[in-house]
Amino acid sequence: MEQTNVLKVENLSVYYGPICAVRKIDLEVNQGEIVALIGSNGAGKSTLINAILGIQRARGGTITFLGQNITRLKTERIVASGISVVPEGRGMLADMTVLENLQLGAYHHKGDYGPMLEKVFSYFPILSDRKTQKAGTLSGGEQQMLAISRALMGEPRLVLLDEPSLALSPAYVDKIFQFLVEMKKQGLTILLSEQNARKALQYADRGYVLDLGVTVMNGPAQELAVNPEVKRAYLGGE
Amino acid sequence: MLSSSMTLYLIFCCAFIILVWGALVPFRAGLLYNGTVYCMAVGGYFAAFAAKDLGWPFWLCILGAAVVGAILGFLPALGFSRTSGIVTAVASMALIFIIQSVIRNLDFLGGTRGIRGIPKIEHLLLYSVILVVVLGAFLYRLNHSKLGRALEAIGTDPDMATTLGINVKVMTVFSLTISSIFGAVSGAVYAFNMRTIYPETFGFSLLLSVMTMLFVGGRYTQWGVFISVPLLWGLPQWVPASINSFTQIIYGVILVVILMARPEGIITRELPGRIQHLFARSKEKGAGTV
Repeated sequence: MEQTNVLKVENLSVYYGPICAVRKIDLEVNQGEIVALIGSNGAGKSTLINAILGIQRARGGTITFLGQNITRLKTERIVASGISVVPEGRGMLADMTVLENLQLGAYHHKGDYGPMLEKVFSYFPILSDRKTQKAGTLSGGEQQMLAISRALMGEPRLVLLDEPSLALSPAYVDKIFQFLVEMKKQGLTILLSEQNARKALQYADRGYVLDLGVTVMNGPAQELAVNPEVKRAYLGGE
Repeated sequence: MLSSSMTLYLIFCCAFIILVWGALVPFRAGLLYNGTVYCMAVGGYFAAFAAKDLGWPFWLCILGAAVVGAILGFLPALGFSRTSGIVTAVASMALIFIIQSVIRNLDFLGGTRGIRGIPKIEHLLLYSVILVVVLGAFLYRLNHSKLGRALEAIGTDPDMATTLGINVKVMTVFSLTISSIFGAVSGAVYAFNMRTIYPETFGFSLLLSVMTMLFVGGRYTQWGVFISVPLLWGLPQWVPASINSFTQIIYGVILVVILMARPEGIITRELPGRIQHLFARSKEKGAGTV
């Protein structure tokens, strides 16, 4: 049987002490699609992403990646198995150079990461121009490009993005999303959390709407975008 | 020919360059590891004992010191890898006091009187320079490798390093073990140069010297030691004997002044790159005028 879902989350619950942040969530991400998690602050989007990465331990449920149960694996093992992340706030290693940041992204790359580096530089020539500069000296948008490029350096199967549009100018938001769509066409699978529901649903294939730690709705992105409930709560429509 | 006191001085410099490099490796990973001095004692005593009582040749003593240092550095490192940076700094200081009191109570290591009459090694200065070159080349390779970058990532942001797939615990143990090997080798060189060794040497004042050399020279590159070690090690010998007893105070003052005036030390992170740039430019200019 062909393995179509890259990531499968079943019945996942995550608690911070006695407080339940994610309650019995089911989620699937299929090969070559962009899935958006939308919801307001505290809906559990970031917690879900951290749980997939093993940063936050799940209290119940299972997380399966490419047929392998990764629920109890350590973060570094999960990353090594082919999931990379663009953390909220970009997670720049500000005192290291742009090139060093990219090289660290390829930490688990088995072979030569040279071709991937060239690919990244051809998409974002600005990174090539600034490769010997400290990452902290880049502008916010450039740092986000670097963070995404770094996540791609190890040629992962799945990329998780936590709030990629946060604190970015609208022009950069579109640029970043168009780049993600481009990467999707090349076979990358993407799961992203986003408060900017309009943009996320514009570019994603499917979406999950989270509220207070539970999934309240899910479906194709176009359907969610026109759903009156979603419109009222997240898109600021009437 | 160099005078014998000059030879002594240069060999001490070699030993301390290696020692400070040892402290530098974990520092990249954000760890203030004081165990380098503990391993210096281990290496020094091992070499002294092996050379004097077992009659081992020089290089075998160095190799043996490195192996024993690696093992005795590796074991506590397993514990330190589970703690945070500040705990490592404090707990590794305890190692120094533990090793001192262990040695004091071991009769075959001479107790408080130490070991005297360690065999004289011909060409010790040459051997020491060889060790500095070899270990320096190793450190350079390490710093510019995947592992070196991983260490620096851990020093910058351990959580971020984890999400890049770096195993922080394993890398911590690795860096502390490397540090221990450097410490042990430096101890062996020190012992062969002093030709006597006693536990009091490896105390708090030595630790202060090492930290001063590390911070004054510059803790982000491996080149700072070439300035700070000769300077600070030479200081007590050049100043008049009357103020010699104030060495510790002078070290402390230099440390504070440098940290205020040049927080990254004399050789900063950017300086080597800038010097390279300067050379490249002057070469271009030279080529242009021809």
